[in-house]
Amino acid sequence: MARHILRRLLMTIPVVLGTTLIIFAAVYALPGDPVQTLAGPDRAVTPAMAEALRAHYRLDEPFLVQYGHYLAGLAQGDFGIDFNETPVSSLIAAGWPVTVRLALMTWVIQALVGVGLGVLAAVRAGRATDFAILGGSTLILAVPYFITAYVAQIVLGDRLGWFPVSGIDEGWPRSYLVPALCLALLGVPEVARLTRASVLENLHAEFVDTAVAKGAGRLRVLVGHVLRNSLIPVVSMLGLTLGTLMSGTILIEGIFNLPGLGYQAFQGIQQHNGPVVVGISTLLVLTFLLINLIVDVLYVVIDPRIRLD
Amino acid sequence: MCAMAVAPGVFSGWFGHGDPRECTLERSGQGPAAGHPFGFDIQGCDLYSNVVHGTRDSLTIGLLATGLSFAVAVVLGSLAGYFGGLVDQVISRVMDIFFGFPLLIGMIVVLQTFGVHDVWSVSVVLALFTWPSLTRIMRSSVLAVRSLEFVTAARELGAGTLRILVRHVIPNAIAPVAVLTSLSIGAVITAEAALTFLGVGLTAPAMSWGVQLNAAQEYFTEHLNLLVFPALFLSVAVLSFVLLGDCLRDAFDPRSR
Amino acid sequence: MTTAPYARPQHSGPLHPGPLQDLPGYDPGAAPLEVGGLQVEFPATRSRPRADVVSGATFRVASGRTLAVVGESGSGKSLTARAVMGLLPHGARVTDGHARLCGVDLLGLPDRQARSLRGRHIAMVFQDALAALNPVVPVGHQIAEVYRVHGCTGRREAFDRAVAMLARVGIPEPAVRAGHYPHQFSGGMRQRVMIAMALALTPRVLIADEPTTALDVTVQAQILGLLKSLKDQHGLSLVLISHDLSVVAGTADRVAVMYGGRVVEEAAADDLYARPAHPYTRALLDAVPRRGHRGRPLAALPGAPPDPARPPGGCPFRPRCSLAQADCAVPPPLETVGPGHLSACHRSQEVSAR
Repeated sequence: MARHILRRLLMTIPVVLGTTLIIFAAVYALPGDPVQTLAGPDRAVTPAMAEALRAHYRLDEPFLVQYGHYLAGLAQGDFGIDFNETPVSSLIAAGWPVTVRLALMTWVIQALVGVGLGVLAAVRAGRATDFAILGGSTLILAVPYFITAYVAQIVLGDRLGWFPVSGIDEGWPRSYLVPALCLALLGVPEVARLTRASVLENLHAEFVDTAVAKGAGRLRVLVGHVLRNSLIPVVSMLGLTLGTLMSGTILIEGIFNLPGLGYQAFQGIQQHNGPVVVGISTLLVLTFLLINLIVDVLYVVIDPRIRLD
Repeated sequence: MCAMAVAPGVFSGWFGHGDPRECTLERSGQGPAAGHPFGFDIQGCDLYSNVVHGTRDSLTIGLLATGLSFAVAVVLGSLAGYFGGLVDQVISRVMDIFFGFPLLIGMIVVLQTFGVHDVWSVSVVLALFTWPSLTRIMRSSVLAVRSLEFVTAARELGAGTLRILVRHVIPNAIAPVAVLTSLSIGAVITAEAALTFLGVGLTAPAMSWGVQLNAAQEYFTEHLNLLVFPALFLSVAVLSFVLLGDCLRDAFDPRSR
Repeated sequence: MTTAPYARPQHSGPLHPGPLQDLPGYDPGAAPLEVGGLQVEFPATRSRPRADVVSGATFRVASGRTLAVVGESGSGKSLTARAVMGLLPHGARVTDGHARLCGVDLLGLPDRQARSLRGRHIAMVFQDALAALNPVVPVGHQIAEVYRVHGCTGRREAFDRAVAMLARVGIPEPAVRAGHYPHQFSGGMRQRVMIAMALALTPRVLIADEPTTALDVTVQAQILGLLKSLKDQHGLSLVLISHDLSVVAGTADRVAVMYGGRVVEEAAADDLYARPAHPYTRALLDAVPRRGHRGRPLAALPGAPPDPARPPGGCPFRPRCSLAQADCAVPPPLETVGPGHLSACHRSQEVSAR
């Protein structure tokens, strides 16, 4: 197992280099003045500002030196400076607690609701409940979640006044609940479908008969035998949904004005503050890679068939 | 039934009437009126014709970006799957790198640096981040077909590599990719709407549903129709492609249901 | 852990009286398992008509004896066993008959009580142990679960007893192997694990459904020997299901031959092999190479078993039977044709006289 983990760790290195290279190249090496690119066509850049950016990214040196410098910076937590000469890392420091709270809450909702509906659909396969869950998940897939978020904000927040419309003044969990629910819609259909398929596959497995022949009750058979096997692929998928979920925070935090990382990136886009967008995106990409790594290692740990080979 | 699922999305362009750019500011944000079933947008333009015309750019981007990544996937996936070895290694590692991006985030970074935000540039960026998932399926599908007997037979009969690939391997390996492609069109349309809504996607002269949502985002609370109608069209279009994908899957693999 | 891995579990006697004796119909003198007139059907669906897959299976197994149930695939032998265990596949249901465990009708019990008997007083060993064992749970825990389910012991003791059971079925280093997963065992060892699990609570009746079919010939003999010795040791009754008359020859006391969902012949093993009284049994025996029959051609039985959705009417064997006559359109009842010898054939005398 240790060898497997080590191999997986080594495989992550070129991916980290590759993704950061793509980001860096897209921003600083494409034709055109990188400073003006970051500012977008509509924003004037003061000479002092341009100078500060050039110095920070060593834009006068050869590309590889720039990239090396940028990588070294990333390793030390330096995600660049923005047009207000604020280090992006300070924005990150202010924003991450909000995002982590939102992401964790979303993730838990996603896991509970997705797995719950998936199991329910599988146990009731071919009946009305199953069709309702499958149909519902297709509908949810079709309606973009940022639309749902607006509708929820207008209906639940503005018209009914049940939840705060925006901001985090009411703290956790009230301010986070509606945004987390909307963001969870992104992953619930997929998790539910995979759980359903996986449970169905194991529901008629022969080891289920063995458990029944032992005299085990329905619940014990379902939880101890069917779910224990079915959830292995689901755990892996749940890890991967964290990636989509992180992209989702940009829209959701933007819409609900939750001052997290996604909100900073959202504001960065609206105000043509390019370095913020790039810096935060880079952090999100690196986090995503780390999560993938953890999920892969976890997968090996929970599936003895891989672990012991 | 499958045809019915796609029809409204594809053909809604034909039902356009009126000029979407003919606007009267006095009618800004007004609700539905005679001849204007969806009401008016902030500029006082007829929302119905706007939304209907938006179909064209949204669908074009969906088809164009997916078409591009489908083409790349068929070529690279076949090469990686059929030849294996170094070719496969290189293609697979590059895919790994692209899989390292959460979908929307990679697109945001690249689009952020683009000067032009027209249908073509947005489609290219969307394709840049959607080809790997199609390629991966194509690769494993080709891997499975490669070792089948009729391919071995063709090889032993002395058929050229290109002939084997084009005549035997690709036609037999393409079904799973086709299914995923249909689902991918829906995903791309959604992604375009999300990116444009954020402000890094298409910009004004283009007229996708995302552009309309972006332009109206500050007025949703007062004028719900500005949100609902473009969103409705968007969802129906995405749903069509999802259902089409389901149909294709059932058609190719009767086992799955 | 202070386990004595090779210690014998202390349950050779009726240490676990269990819930059986409190149930209606319990009769300590009754046969451990008695199946009568069992009918199982798949109700009609859109794509296929109703099918009687078991139509009147009748047999009994005496205390401490082995009954072999033999038949081709599709003869209903496995479904009979599954019906007794409450393991019918989705859609199938029992429409008539009984299956009495020491007088208690398993088919009429509420689910909760039937469950309390499964694994405790009646247990089952499956054909494919790799599929029948949970791939992600160590085998020791799977065996221990039997004790846990029936509330016999605490977690710790259950595991210790599982280790002892592994030792008892001949698995070396049981304390270590208990922590291993099914895929880490060989086929024969996995089947031993299955047997250990089935015998964990020393049931009265053990049903073994093709327990050796998936194994190598040499391993087959070991497993059959193990089953036989454990049966003798614990005085349990064994129902051995097989498609192969030669496999059960050395193990069974009695043999019931099933065809088309019903028992067509039942007799003491020696009697049945020497004087088959049903043409189907005769055909099965003729298809087995035997000593003393050198030079005689092996006879393959032509045709296929009847489709349960479209039974031929009358005697189910009629379409394949060389002795079939007009009166075979009337289904022959299972009748005594000799001492302890039952056959369902109008021509049984003719068959055994050959």
